[in-house]
Amino acid sequence: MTSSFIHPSFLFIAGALILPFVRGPLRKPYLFLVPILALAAVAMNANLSDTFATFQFMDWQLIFGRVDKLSSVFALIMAVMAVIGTLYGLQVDRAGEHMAAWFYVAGSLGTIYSGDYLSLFFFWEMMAFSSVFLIWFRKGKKSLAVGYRYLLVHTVGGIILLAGIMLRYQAEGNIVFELMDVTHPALYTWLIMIGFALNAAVVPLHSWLPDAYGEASYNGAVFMCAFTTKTAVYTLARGCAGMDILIVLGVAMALYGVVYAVLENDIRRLLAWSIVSQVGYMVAGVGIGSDLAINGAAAHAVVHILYKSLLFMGTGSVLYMTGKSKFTELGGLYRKMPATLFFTVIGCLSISAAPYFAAYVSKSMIITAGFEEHLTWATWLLMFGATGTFIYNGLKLPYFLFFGKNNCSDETWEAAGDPPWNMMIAMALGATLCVVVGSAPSFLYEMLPYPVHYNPFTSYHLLETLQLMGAASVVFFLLKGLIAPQDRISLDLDWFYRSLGRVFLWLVRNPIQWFDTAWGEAYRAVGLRSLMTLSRFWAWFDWHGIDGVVDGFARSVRALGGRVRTLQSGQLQYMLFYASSLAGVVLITFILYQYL
Amino acid sequence: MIPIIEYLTKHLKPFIWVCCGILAVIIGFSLVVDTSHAHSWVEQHIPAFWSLFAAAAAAIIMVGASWLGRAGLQVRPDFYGCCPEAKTSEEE
Repeated sequence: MTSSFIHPSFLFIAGALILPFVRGPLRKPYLFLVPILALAAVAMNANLSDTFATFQFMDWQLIFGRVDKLSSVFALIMAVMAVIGTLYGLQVDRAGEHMAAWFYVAGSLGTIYSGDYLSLFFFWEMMAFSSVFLIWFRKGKKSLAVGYRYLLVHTVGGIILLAGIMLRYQAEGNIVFELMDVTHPALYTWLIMIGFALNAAVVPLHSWLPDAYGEASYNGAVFMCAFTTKTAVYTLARGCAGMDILIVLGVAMALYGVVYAVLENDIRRLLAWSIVSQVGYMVAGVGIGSDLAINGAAAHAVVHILYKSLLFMGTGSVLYMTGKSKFTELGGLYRKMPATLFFTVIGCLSISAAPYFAAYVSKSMIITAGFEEHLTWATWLLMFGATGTFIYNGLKLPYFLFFGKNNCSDETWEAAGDPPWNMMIAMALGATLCVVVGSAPSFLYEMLPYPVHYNPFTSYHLLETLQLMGAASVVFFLLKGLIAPQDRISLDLDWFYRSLGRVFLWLVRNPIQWFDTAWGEAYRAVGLRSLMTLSRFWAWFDWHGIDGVVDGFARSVRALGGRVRTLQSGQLQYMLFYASSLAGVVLITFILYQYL
Repeated sequence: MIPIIEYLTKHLKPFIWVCCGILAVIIGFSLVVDTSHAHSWVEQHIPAFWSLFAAAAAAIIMVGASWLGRAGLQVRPDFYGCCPEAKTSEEE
C-alpha cells in the first residue's frame, strides 16, 4: 500500500482472517462492512492512474497496484459483486464459507491490480485454492469429487501459465505483465494464453465450469459465476488483445454453450453453460482487439457479472428454498415465488440483450466491432449465438422453471417460496443495476479503457433486437416440445479426462496391481529366500567364526582367571610362600639370563 | 403479479393474438426504418431480415440440439456412476 492506493485484497484478506472471531449479532454487520470498505477503496483507486505498491524481491520488481482504466473498470465491478454476493449469503452461518469467498475475491482483485507475472500468479492460484471450498461447502455426495476435479484442472492450468511465465522471463528478462507480441507469438505467448484461457473456460478447456458451478453451494455459485472467468477475460484483454485465434475460440464458445444450455436439465448448469457462451463474446472481442471490441469485451464483462449473478441468485433461491435444481423436479413456481420470478426475468431479459436491459448496451459493441473489422462470418455466428441465448435463457429457463408443467413433489411445493429478506435485497440490487446500466450506459461507457463513440439506442438496433426476440419466441413456442427438459445429462469433453481417470484407475487396479503382487511374490520366493539363506550363513559365521574368536579368547581368559582364583586361599603363609617362590623363580631366571 | 399471470393464462388465445399483433407491428416498422447504417447488404435489402434470421436460427438451434441429444449426447444421469440423488446441505 502507499498513501494514495489502498489494496482492496488486503482488506478482504484481513477481513477474512478476523471473521471467525466476530460472532453473534456483530457477524452480519461485519460481513456487510468489509466488502463496502473494499468497494470504497476500489472507487477511490479508480481516480488514480499509475503503478503503486511496488516492491523489490530479489531481481524482480513486484507491482501490486497497477491502476488504469482497464484494471479500474474490472476491479469496480468485482467489488460491487462482492457486496451483492455477501449480502445474498448473509444467513450463511459457516464462517469458512465467507472466508473462502473473500479470499476468492481478494485473489481476483489482486490479479486485476497486478503489474507483474509473479504477483499475478500468486493471486491467480489464490482464486483457485479458495474457490474450491465454495464447492466443498455444499457438502453433497458429489461435491468432494467435483471439487478435486476443479482443483486438478486449475492446477494444470496454473502449471501451464507458470511455464509460460518462466519461458517469457528467460526470453525477455523481465516479469512485467503487459500486452505480448501477439502477431509473432512465441511458445511462452501460447502457454500464457492457454493458462488464461483455461480460467476463461475457453473451449475445449471449459468442462470444469458447468461441472463446478452446478455443484457449488447456492451462495458459492453466486461468487463463482462472477470472478474466475471475468478475471481471465481481463488478463486476456491485458496480455493477448488482438490474438486472432481468440476470435475463433470465442465464436466456438458462444455456439458450444448454446447447444448444451438448450439441452440442460439442471437450472444452474444451464446458467453455467450460458457463462461459457457469453464469455465467448468477450473472448472474441479480445481477439478482434480494436478499441471498440476491447471496450465491448470490458462492458460485456461488467454487465455479464450483474445479470449472471442475478440469475444465479434467482436459481439459487429456488435451490435454497426447495433443495431442487432440476427442471424435471420443478415447474409452475410463479405461484409460490413471484418475487424470485420477477428478478429472474429481469436477469433473463438482461442476458438476452432486450432493449433497455444490461447486455443491450454491450453485446452489440462486440458485434459492431466484428462487422467494422470485416470479420463477417464470425460476427454472423455471434448473432446466431445471440438468438440461442434468448432461446435458452430468455425463454426456456423462465418458462420451464416458473410456468410450464409442474413437476414438483408435494414436499418441494410445500417448501417453495420467496427467500429471506437479505437474498431479496441482493436480487433487487442486482436487478436495479441491470436496468440502470441498460437504460443509462454513459456511466459504464466513461469507465471503459478507450473513448466510446457508440450509441446503442438507434431505432434500427431497437427494431433489430425486437424482431430477433419476437421471431425466436414464436419458434420457441412452436417447437418447445423438442427441448422439453428430460432427466438426462449431456456428455461433454470432460468425458475424455474422466475416461482417462477411469483408465488410470483400471490400470492401477488391474495390470499395475497384478505386477505389484507378482513382483512381491517373486521377491518373496527368490529374493527373500536367498536373502534369508545368506543371512543364516552370515549369522552362523558370525556366531561360530567371529564370535568364536572373541568368545574363545574370553573363555580362555576366564579359564585362566578361574585357575588363578584357586590360588587365592586368603591364608597369609600361603600367599607369602607363593610370592617368595615366584620372586625366587624370577630372580633365578634373571641371573641365568644374565650369565648364560 | 400472480393475478395478472393467471388472467393471461386463462385468456391465452387472445394474449397470443396480441403478441402476434405486436410482432407484426415491429416487422412493419422494420420495413420503414432507415437501414443505411446497417452492417451488411442483406440487412439493407431483405425485408424483415432479422425476423427471418431469428426464426431460422431458433429453429436450427432447437432442432439441431434435440437431434444431438437423441444422437447420443444425452445419457442417463448416473452415466458416470455417481449418486444422482445425492443429498446436499441445502436439502438437509
